[in-house]
Amino acid sequence: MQTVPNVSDMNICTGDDFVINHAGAGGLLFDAARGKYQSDIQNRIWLLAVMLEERKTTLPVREVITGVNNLLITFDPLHLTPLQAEEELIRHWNQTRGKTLPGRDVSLPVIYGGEARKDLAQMSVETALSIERIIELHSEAVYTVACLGSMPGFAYMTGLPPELARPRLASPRMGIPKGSVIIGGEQTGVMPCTAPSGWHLLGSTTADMFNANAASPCLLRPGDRVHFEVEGIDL
Amino acid sequence: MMEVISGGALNLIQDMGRNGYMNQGISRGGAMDMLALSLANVLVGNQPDTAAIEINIFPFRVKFEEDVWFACTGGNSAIMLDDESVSVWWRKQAKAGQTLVIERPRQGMRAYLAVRSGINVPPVLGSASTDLKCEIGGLSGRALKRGDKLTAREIHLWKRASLGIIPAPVPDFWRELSARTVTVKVLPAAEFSEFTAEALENFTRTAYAVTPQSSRLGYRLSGAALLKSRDLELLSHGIVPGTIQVPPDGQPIVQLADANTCGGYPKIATIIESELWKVAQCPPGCQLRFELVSIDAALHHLHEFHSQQTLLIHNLHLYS
Repeated sequence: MQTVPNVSDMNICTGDDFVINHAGAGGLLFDAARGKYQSDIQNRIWLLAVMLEERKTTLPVREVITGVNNLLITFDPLHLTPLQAEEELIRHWNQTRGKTLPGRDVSLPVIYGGEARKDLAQMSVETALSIERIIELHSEAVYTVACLGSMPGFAYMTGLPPELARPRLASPRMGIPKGSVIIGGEQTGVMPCTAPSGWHLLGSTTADMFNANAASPCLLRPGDRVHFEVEGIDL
Repeated sequence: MMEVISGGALNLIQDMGRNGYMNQGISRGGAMDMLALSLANVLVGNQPDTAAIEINIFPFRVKFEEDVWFACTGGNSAIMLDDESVSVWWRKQAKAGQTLVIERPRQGMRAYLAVRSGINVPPVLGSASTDLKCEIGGLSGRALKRGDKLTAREIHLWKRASLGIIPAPVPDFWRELSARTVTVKVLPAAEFSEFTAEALENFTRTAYAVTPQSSRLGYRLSGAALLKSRDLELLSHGIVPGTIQVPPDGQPIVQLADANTCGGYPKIATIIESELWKVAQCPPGCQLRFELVSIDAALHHLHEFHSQQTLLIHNLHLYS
């Protein structure tokens, strides 16, 4: 009969402002979250990701996955021990202090409404805002790509005006079209392919979020500032 | 080189998957049972990471259009080359015009068919593996269907004898599968200590059944509910194949090759990398038991697993 080990022999590393846990023998989850999302922490996470990506040329690091106020790395544990990987994480994290990632500005043309007109009307009723006001609020805000994930090229963007925050649907709808500009919780995003989603539709963009044949398959990168520009309104 | 003559929407060209694209939302993918894929390739003289067919729907039938060396590994299937029985984990040369039939494994879930020099498909993002979600890799990003004609990367003379292997852990594993209970080593994950003492007791001492809601994305398990000592709201984070997540209902989900790259459910443990090939071969109804190990024990297991394979590959070269 095996016994359940104490938490103390689980080899968790706790720093002043982070916790590191194993994600398998060849993975570490570095978590700097303090409850709610913080943009200053996220900025350091992006920098950490950039630094670790650069280390791939000299270290057997496989994946560097930016999360929301956290980061996961995977590596070949036969050639880099979890302890060495942990030291790399901490060393680079300390170097991110006081630095900022420049980020790029990316504009996405949007036709509000169209297939999204039913959702827009519903949102107008539930928020007591006119459709015009919803479009104005959504297109005037500047969003930041926190991370990519879930679907290839899907960017989780923060910076949604609080009036527009909408709880996700209890169950996802099938076949939300590629290019749909959507809102879920306090975030906005663009569908990179036609897939199920529990988010609300505002309109659509012709920008190609993911192209497997491009050198850099995803249009957006963590840290990018996104501007949705009104190309048309179709109600 | 060969024509697929059976249907089934889940037979996929796979290699060892994509490396370095998870930060863009692209799953690792690749063979569910990497041990079987790599050794099928090695048997026919390929690099372990060469494109082969992962068979998830049986019986699988192909007709060879020229003389081809092949090897079939993975689950314990009955295999017929025309009217001649062929062992699993065995290489053999098929003659032009012969038909190969691979039956549903008696033990296991999936079979791998490798051919000499590999299946010729263009790599996408560094891999030939089929990603059905992104519709990339493999044959036009889709599963194989009846009438598909596959070509080998190159055909040249290869004079060898028929030969078979059985990797050391496989016979024991098949015995476990016959008894319908498979034990796998796991490491505690980030939220391990958020679970109640009773939950941790259940997790390590009772078995969890693989349910029919299981696929290459992940397996939903069913067993004693795993409850946390407090409510927990996590921000989205990267997840690796092998992660055992626990949604609010307490029934665990094992994330596998085609899992989403990010998730938000609490994680109780991670199945270690050198045990994932076993999970890949567990059919619905099979019971999984989780053996909690330390990081040192996990690394030791990984080293052993790796050196066993290296030795096997070395010995195969001696016989080739």
